[in-house]
Amino acid sequence: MLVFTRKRGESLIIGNEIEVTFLNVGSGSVKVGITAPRYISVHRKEVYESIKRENVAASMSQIPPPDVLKRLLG
Amino acid sequence: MRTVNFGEIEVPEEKIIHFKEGIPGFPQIRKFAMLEIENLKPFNYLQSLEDPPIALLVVNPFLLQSSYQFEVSEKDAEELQAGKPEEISIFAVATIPEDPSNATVNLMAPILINDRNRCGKQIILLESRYSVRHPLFRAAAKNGVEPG
Repeated sequence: MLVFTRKRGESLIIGNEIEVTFLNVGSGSVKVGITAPRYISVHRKEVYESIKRENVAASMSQIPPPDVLKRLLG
Repeated sequence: MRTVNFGEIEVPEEKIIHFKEGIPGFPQIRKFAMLEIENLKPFNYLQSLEDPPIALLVVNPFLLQSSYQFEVSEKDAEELQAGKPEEISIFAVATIPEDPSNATVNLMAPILINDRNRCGKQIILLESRYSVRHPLFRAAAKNGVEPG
């Protein structure tokens, strides 16, 4: 992993198109701004990971048993 | 192609749904089809056309929570090439574990499909108040559907 030290307001450029700016540094948290082309998705990693995990769990779902369908449809 | 749960299926070209970026967890799979199976209503299966064992159970989230609402980011709308909201179908992915009373739906990351051009995307709602694991039955009960 490449490690940099940056001060408040300073940035990093990744490739030609992605800029990461360190807006504020508090005790225990950092506020980061990201400028990137529209085709690049940026997400909090834990959110992305939870969705990934859930999709994998969902793909192992059992076929809904009849009583589940009945309960849902009333 | 041959599916695990539904045997041999044939999907005409115009029914193939393209997920340009795949979906989280399955980024390499781009082609899916929506299988409507009569005796599994209200669920559908979003069946991968490239990796047969992969199929996601999906359900209309508004059936579970009529107040469900979210905003689609400009980027996501652009990716789906959505002209107007009516073109878009919305699904939530359901997880049904061994004990079905613990079934959940993912309301934080709905699947959007543009019915006009068959573009699909699982979007992630920013600052979402909805859960990745929203209990299926509490959701249904809240909406006035009584447990049978």
